[in-house]
Amino acid sequence: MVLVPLLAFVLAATSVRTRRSAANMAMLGALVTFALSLLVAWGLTRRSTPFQTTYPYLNVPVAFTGPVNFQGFGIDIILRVDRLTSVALLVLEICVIGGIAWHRLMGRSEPGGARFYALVSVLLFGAVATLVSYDLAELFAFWGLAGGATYLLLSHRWGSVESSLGGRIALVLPFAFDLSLLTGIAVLYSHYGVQNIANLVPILHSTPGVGVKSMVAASILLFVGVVGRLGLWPLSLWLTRTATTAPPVASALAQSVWSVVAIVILYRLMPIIAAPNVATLRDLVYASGVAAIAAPLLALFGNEPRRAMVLAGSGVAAIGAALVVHAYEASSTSFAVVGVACVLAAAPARAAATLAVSAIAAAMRTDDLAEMGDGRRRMPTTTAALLLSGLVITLSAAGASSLAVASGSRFGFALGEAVLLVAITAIRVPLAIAIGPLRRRRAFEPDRVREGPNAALGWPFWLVVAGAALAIASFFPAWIGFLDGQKHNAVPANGVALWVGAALVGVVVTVLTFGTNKDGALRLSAWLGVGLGRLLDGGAAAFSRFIAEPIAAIAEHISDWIQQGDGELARAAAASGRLALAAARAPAVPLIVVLAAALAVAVGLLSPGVFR
Amino acid sequence: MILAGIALASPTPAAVPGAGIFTSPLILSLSIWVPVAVAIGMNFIPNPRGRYDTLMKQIAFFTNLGIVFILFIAYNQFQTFLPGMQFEEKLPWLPSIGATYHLGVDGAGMTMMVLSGIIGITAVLASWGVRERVRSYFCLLLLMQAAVNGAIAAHDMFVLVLFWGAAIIPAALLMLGWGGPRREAATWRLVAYWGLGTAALLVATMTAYAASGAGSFDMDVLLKATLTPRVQLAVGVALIIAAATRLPLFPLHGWVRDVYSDAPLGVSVVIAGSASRLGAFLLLRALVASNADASRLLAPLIAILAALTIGYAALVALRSVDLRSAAAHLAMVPGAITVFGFAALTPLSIAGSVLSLFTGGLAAALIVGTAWTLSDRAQTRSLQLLSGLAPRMPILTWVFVIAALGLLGVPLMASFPAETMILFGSFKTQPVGAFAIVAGLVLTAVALAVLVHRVLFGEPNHDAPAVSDASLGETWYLGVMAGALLWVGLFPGGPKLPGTEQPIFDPGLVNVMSAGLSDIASPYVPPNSAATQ
Amino acid sequence: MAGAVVLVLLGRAPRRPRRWVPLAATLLVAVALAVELWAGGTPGTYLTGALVQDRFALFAKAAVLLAAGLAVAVTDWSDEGAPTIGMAMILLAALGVMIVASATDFVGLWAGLELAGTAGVVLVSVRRADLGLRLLVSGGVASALVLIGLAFVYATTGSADLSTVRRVAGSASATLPLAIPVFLLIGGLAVRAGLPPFQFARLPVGLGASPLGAGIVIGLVAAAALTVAFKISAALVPLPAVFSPYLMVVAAVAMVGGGAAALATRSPRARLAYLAAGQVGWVAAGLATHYRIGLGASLFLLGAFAVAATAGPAVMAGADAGEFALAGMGLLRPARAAGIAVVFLSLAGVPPLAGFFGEFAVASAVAQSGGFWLLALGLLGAVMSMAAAVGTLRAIYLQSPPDESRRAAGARLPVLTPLSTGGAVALFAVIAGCGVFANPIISLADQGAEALGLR
Repeated sequence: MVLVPLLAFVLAATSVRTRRSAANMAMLGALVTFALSLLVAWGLTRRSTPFQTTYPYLNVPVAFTGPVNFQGFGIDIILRVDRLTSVALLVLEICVIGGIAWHRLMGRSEPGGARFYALVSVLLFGAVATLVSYDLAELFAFWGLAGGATYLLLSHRWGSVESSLGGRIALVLPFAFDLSLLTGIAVLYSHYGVQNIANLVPILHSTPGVGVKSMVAASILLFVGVVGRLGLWPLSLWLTRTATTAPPVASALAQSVWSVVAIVILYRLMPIIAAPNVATLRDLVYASGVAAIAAPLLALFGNEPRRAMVLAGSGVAAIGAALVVHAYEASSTSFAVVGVACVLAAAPARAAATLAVSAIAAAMRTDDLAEMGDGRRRMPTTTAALLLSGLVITLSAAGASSLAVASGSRFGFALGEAVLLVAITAIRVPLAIAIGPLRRRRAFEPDRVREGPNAALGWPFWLVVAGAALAIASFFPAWIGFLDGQKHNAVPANGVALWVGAALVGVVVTVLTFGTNKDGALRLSAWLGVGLGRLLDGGAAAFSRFIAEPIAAIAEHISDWIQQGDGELARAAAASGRLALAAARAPAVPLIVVLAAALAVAVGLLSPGVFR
Repeated sequence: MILAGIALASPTPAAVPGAGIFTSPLILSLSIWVPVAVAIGMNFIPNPRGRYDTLMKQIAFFTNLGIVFILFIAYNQFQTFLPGMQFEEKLPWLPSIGATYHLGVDGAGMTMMVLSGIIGITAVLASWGVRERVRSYFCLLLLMQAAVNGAIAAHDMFVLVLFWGAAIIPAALLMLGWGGPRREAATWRLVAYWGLGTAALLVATMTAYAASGAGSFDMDVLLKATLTPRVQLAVGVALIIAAATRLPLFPLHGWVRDVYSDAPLGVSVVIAGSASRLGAFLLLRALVASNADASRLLAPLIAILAALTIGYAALVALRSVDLRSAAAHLAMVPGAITVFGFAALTPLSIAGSVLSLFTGGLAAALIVGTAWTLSDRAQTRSLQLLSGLAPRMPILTWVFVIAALGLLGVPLMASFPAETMILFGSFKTQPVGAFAIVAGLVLTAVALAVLVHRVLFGEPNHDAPAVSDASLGETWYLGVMAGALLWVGLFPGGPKLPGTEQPIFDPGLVNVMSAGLSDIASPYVPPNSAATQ
Repeated sequence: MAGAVVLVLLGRAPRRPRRWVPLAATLLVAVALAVELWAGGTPGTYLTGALVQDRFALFAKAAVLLAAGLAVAVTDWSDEGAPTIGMAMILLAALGVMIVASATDFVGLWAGLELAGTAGVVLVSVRRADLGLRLLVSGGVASALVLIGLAFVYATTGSADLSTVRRVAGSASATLPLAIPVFLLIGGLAVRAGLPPFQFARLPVGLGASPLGAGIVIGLVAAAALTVAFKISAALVPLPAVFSPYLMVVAAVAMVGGGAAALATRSPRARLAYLAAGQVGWVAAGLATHYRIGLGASLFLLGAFAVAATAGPAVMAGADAGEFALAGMGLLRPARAAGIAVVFLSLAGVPPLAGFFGEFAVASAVAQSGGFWLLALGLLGAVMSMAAAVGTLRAIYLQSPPDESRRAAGARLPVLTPLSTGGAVALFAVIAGCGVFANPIISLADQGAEALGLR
C-alpha cells in the first residue's frame, strides 16, 4: 500500500515519457493504493486492534554508558494502521484520484506533464507513509518528502514571475513549518531519547530532568509545524498565494491532502502537545479560534474566488484544530476525533471547490468575482458542483461543532461565529458566479463560455459526494465511535438545529445580499480587498526594506571586505619582501658596530656586576 | 567497560559475514603511496605532442579504480564491533623527536577513506575533458588525492601535518595551470589560507608536544596526554583556526569563492568533496576525541562560527549574480552543520557529524560540480543570463535538484539521517545554536529555491548562449556522487533481505562509521541521574 | 685537496679538458664520500689534535661532499668559463667546510671558513671580476668581525681550544666582555652566510656569478659559517645568554625576511638565495635552543640545506637570465626540472622533502625550549616561502618554453649529458629520500650533536 505510489513514481521518472502514459501510471498507482486501503479498512471493521509492522531503517550505537535511551539511535519504519488512519487514507486517495482524473483532461495545457504526474505519485507516497508512521523521525521523513513534492507541484508553472514568487513562498513557509516540527521532535528526543509515539507518551511525565519549559517549547513547535501544513490563518499564506498561480490540481491537493494528513497527525500528537500544562493548551485553542474566525472573515476582503475558497477551507480546518485541542483542554478527549472528522469531510469538498472554480475562472478568463456571472446557464454542472462543495464545507463545520461544543460556552460562541462566516464565504463564491450577468469584456466573448469536457465534469461531483457522505456521517455517533473506537452519545437534536441553523443563517444572509445587490456586495468586498492588499503589500515592502535587504546587504559587504582584507594582507607581505630586498643595500658594517656599542651600553646597564 | 558496553549497546550493529578475514598490513599505505608511485611513473612514459593523453587519463582512472577496490575490501572487512584503530601500520620515522609513520583508521576514518575513494574516481571522470598538459594534470591530481588519503589515515601528528601541508602544492599548481580567468587570485588565496591553517596546525601540535613532555607525536600519546586547561585551550583555538581555513568556516573562508569558481572541475570536486572535509575531521580527531575540557570550553565558539557560516553563506548565495559563486558559498553549509555537531558534544550529535563528514562532502562536491558543469554547458556563469534551462538539460536538472535536496538534508538523501542526528543530539546542549542552524537551513532553502527557479525553471532566456546537456563523462561523475548520496540515504545500515538482519555486500556506512565512536563520545555521555525509567 | 690541485693543473694544460673530467671529479667526490662514510665512523684525531674525526664531522663532511658531488654532476659545464677551476674551487670550498667540521680550535675554524670563502671569490672572479672584488671586501669584513670575535673570546676564556673554552665557560658567568665578541662573531658569520639584512654582498654575487660560483657562495660558504656557529655554540653552551638571544634575532630576521624577499623577487636564483637564507634562519633557530635535540635537528637541516643550496644554482643553469629561462623546463629537461623543483620545495620547507623534515625537527626543539614567538615567525616565513616556491614551479611546469629570440638573450638550454641527467635524478632522490628515509640520517645528526658534547 505504501510502496505502490513510490513504484509508480520510479516507473514514471525512469521509463515514461508521454503525458498520457504518465497519467495512466499515476492513476494506476493511486487506484491500487486505494484498493489496498479499502482492503485494510475492511479488515479493520472486523478487528479493533490496528495492523502494525516494523522495519529497522537506522541503528547506531553511539555510547556504551549513560542512560540506556541515549546509548543508541535508531529510526524504525513503523507502519501502523488503525481505523482513523484507514479512513484518512481513503479520503486522501479519493482526492488524489479525482485530481489526477480531472487533470488528464483539464490540465493538458500545463507544462511538464510527465513530471507533474510523477510528483503527484510522490505526494501520495509521502502522505500515505506519513499517515501510517508512528516513529517521530520516520514521520518527519515522509512528511518532509510529501512537503518537497507539494512544493514542486505548487511551483510547477516555473515560467511566470508570479508563479515563481508563489513557489518561493510555497517553499519557504512550509519548510519553516516542517523545520519547526523537526525541532519539536528534536527537543523531545533530546530529553527523552525515544521517538516511538507509543513509547513516548507514557514517559512524558515520569522522566526526571525534563523541565516544563522544554515541554512547552516542544508542544508549541509541534503544533506550529502541524497547523502550518493544515493551513491555519495566518500560516495559510502558502496556500492563498499559490491558489491562482499553481496548477488547479496542485492547489486542490495541497489543500485537501495536507489538511487530512495534518489533522490526523495533530490528533496523534495531541497527547504530547497536551503534556506540559493546560495554559499552553488554552493558548493553542485561542490561536485556533482566532484563525477559525479570521480566515473566513478575510475571505470576504477581495473578490478572488480561489483565495476565498481556500480561506473558507482554512476556517474549517481551524475549527477542526480548535475542536481537537479544546477536547484535551477540557479533558474530554473523546470529542477530539470530531475535529478530525470535520476536516476529513471538508477535504474532498475543498478539492472539488478548487477544481470547479479553476474551471470556471479559466472559462470566464478572469479571477475577479465581479466579472463572473451567469454560471447557472453557461456552466451549470460546474457551478452546481461548486455550490454543493460550499454547502458541504459549511455542513462539515456545523456538524462537528454540534457534536463537540456546548453552544453556551464562549468557545461555542466563537465557533458559532466561525461557522457563520465559513457559510457566508463558502456560499458567496458560487452565488456570485451563478447569478448575475456575465459582462462582455475586451477580447472576451461571453457566448463562448461553456462547460469543459464531459468526462471532467463528474469528478468534482464525486468528490463532493464523498465529502457530503463524510459530513453527514459525522452527525452519527456510530461513525465517530468507529473512528476512535470509543462510545459517543447521540447528538441532541436542539444542538444540531442550533449549529445547522447558524450555518443556514449564513447561507440565507448571503443569498439575500447577492440576490438583492450582487454588484454592491462585490464592490464592497473589492474595496476591502484593495485596502487589505495595500496593507499586506506595505508590510511586505517594509519587511523587505528594513529587514531582508539590509541583512543581505550586510552579508554581501562583509564578503567584499574579507576579499579586500586578505588582498591587502597579501600586498603587505609583498611590501615587506620589497623592504627585505632593499635591505640588500643596507650599510651592514656600521650597523654592526653601532649595534655592538648599543649592546655594550645595554648589557652594562642591565647586568649589575658585569664590570666586577 | 567496553565488554559491558557491547553487552549493553542498544541496538548493536549487524556484523558482516566474514568481517576481518582479510586484513592487509599495507592497506592504508597502498591507498597513499600507489597514487604517488603512479604519478611519478607517469612521467617516464613518453608522450610526444600529447599522443598518449588518453592513456594518461586511463592510468589515472584505473589507479583510482584500484584504490576504490582496495578501500571496498577494507570497508567490507572493517570490524564494526571493535573500538580503536584498524589496519594499523607503525614504523619509527624521526625517533629523535618521537615521530612515527603511524597509520590507522577507526569508523570515522574509514568513512572518510570511502568518501575520498568516491571523490577520487569522480574527480578523474570530471577531468576527462582536460586537453592541455594532460600528463602533468593527472600527476598532480593523483598527488593531491594521495595527500588527502594520507591526512585521513594519519595517526601521528607529524604524518598529519606532513600530508595536510603536502596537499597545498599540487592544488595550487593545478589551479595555476588549468584554472579559469581568476586563477591567480584563487591560487594565492588558497595557498595563503591553507598555509595559515597548516601553520596553525603545526603550532597546535608543537604546543601539545612541548606541554605533554612525552616526546612523541603519536596521537595515542600526544592526544591522550593530560594537559592543563590553558594549554588545551591554546591548542583548541589553533586547531579551530586550522579547521576553519580548510573547511572553511566564516570568517576564514576567503578562498572559497575564487577557488570553487576558477579551479578546474576535478580539483574543485576534490577540494569540496574530501580535502576540505579534513578540517572537520581534524576537529574530531584532535579536539573532540582528545581534549574534552577544551572541547567544552570552545563549544560555544564553534557553535557561533557554524551558525554564522550557514547564515552568511546562504545570504551571500542569495545575493550572488554568479552561479559558481553562489554554489561555492552554498558548499560551505554542510561543513558548518558538521562542526555544529562537535559543538553540541553529545554522543548522538558527534555520530551525526561523523556521518555528515561523508554526506556533506558529497553534497558540497555535487553542488559545486553541478554548478561548474552547468555553467560550462550553458557557456555563461551569469545568473542574469542563465534561465529556464530545464527543458534543454534534463540530466543536469535532475542532478541539480538532487544536489539541492542533498544540501538541505531532505529525506531519502544520506544527509537526512546525518542532519537529524546532529539536530536531535544538539537541542539539549546547544538549543540556541540549534535554532540558529535551523534558521540558517531555511535561508539556505530560500537561496536554493531562487537558484533553481532562476536557472532551471525560469522563463527561457533567448539572448543566452546555446546550451547542451551533460556529456557521458559528466553524467557519470555527477551520477556517482548523487547515487552515493541516495544509496546511503536509502540503506544507511546496508541493504538487507526482508526478514534478515545481515546486510548484504554493503555492511552499511552507519555500522562502519559507529565503530569506535563510543570511545570518542564517552566523555560527553550524559550522567545517569537523568536516565529514563 | 689533491683532486683540486690536479684539476687546477689540468686547467693549465694547453688542450681543453675532455668531457670525462667532470665525471672524474664526480667520481672523486663519490670516492671521498665513500671513504668518509666507511672510515669516518671510527673517531680519531689528526695533525696532533688540530683536527678531530667524530660523528659531527662525519655528518657535516658527508653532507658537503654529497652537495659538492651533486653540484659538479648537475652543472652545465658548457656554460662555465673555466670548468677545471670551477671543479677545483668547489672541492676547495668543500674542503674548507670539512676543515671547519673537524677543527678543534679557533684557528681551524677560521682557516676553514676563509678557505671556503676564498674558493668562492676565485670562482666568482672568473666570470665577474668586479663581483669577485666585492665578495672579497665583504668577506674581509666578515672575516675581520669573526677574527675579532674569536680573539676576544680567546682573551676572555684564555684558550683557543674549543674543549677548553667549553670547560671554562662551564665555570664562568655571562659577562659583557664575552657577550660583545660573541655578538661580533655571530654578526660576522651572518655576513658570511649572507643572511638578511646582510646579503648586500651575496645577492648580487649570487646573481652575477656562474651557476657553480653561486652554488659555492649561497651553499657551501653559508654551510661553513653555520658549521662554525655550531662549534662556537656547542663550546658556549654553558653560557647560552651570550649567544642564544643573538641567534634568535638572526633566525627571526632571516626566516621572515628570507620568505618575504623570496615572495617579492621574481628572479629564480635570487628567490633560491632568499629561500636558502630563510632555511639558514631555521638552522640558527635550532642552534638558539642550545639543547642537543635542537642542535641535532639543526645539523640534519644543515645537511639538507647544503645539498639544496649548493646544487640548486648549478641545476638551474642559466636561470640567472630570469624566470623565463626556466619556462617549459619540465617539458624540455624533465630530470633537471625535477631537480630544480625539489630544491625549491626543500628550501621552502614543503613536505615531504628533506627541508620539511629538518624544519619540523627544529620546530619541535624550539617549541620544547618555549620559543613559540620564534616558531610563529618561522612559520610565517615558511608560508611565504611556500608561495614563492609555487611561483617558480609554475614557470617550470606550466609555462611554455620561451621563443628562440629570448633563448638567445641568455636563456640557453643546458646541454643534456648523461652525467647531468644522472646528477639531477640523484639530486631528486637525495632530497626526497632524505625525508622519507630520515630515520638513520637524523639519528646520525643526533649523534653528531652528542659528539659536540651536548646532553
